[in-house]
Amino acid sequence: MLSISGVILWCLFSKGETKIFWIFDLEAVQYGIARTFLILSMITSGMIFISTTRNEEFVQGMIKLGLPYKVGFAISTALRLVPTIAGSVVTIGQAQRSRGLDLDSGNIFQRIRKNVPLLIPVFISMIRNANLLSMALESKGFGAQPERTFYLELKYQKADYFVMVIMFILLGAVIYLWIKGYGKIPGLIRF
Amino acid sequence: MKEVFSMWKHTRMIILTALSAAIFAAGLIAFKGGLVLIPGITEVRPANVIPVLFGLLFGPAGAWGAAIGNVIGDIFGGTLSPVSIFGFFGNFYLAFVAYKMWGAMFGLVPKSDLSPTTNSMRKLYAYIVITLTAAAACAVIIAWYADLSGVVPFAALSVIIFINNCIVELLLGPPLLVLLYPRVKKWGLIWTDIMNREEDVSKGFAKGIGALFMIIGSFGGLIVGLGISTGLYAQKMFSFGEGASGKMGVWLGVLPFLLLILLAGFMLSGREQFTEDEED
Repeated sequence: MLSISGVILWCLFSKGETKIFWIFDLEAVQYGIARTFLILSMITSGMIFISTTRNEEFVQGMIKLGLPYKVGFAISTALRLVPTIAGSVVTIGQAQRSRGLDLDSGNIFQRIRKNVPLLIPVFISMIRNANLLSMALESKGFGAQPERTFYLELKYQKADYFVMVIMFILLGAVIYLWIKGYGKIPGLIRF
Repeated sequence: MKEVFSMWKHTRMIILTALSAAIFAAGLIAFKGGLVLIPGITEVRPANVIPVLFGLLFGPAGAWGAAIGNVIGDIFGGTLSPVSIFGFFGNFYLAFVAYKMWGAMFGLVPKSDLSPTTNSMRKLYAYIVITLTAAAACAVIIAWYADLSGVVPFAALSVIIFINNCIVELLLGPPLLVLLYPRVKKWGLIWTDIMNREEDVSKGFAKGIGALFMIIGSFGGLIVGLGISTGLYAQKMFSFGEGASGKMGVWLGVLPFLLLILLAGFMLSGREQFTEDEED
């Protein structure tokens, strides 16, 4: 769905010299396909990243790179809360449905309007949970020391060095090809 | 600006940052596949009501939350691009402008009741002015960089971001603020209840002029940028500048307004919102 809409929409935002039909120019379609691959690769890498990396590993990695641990903690908590919020929306939506609220009929704007009243219980429950979480953290001495220790200790493995070398080679190759002029679509005009 | 950094010593503010980021990111991700406006860059974003709302309630935590939440939304929504860098700053300012300007609204928010809620017509007017200013500041910051990096022209992106921000913030913001404020206040989670006025918050100077500079910087940047990118200075409408003069037009024309927005951020304080506990 994203691929099809991406290609069609990029044809509206760019044009080329070789007409195919109606608004579709060859260069714009090529560009649309390229952008779609880029978006799909980002989504895929994001999915692989969250599926294979624990929050603790991600945060500790960033802290080792110099990020203050409190900022790292906020980011990891945010990442952990996203599915909780999604679950909370589903639960509250089901509770409202059981009371007779019809969330599924109507066009997209009517559906958005029907979902607005769900925002308040979602916000309230999340803010209440945040309050409890902050009290729990304070009771355990979070932030009492400028530095903190971690139960989990990350160390570079051979595989890490191997992947880094591969990535640097790929980056170098991409920069070389970009300088040489590859990847450009002659005749493409982007709005 | 001091409170932007000093807030990290308060555990509650850290949690509120995480909460704001998570709610904003969840809202953005939910609509990523919805009505796309520029593929890979932006779409209709009903979640844009959150930065201003949480900016007013949670202050700098709301600002950091908006910035971090936008990046998380970009990563998991598949729209991570060079624009995401200034998407971070633009969304940060969306919430930052809101809490910074609330106490310096030329008397629209009475000194006797500075609570961040739209419980009177005067406060509603203040909210509208702040929302429009914040939306314009966000649009100018992101669109300027998008034009600079050659991703999307200023005229196209700035208008989309400005309207995208304004509509939901003006429609959903006031009722949500009225409903949320009493509960958040009761739990002691309003940013002025958590932070220390003297130790944590910048003093600012000439706050009224600062608010004026923020408005001029935001709308001036938007108007001048649009003017340049839609015909003036050898730049064609909805296209990048052609030749040196066209390219330099948006970059140099909008830059003074960006600096004015930055200066206004230092001039505005937020200390005036620290009042003795009042209940409404």
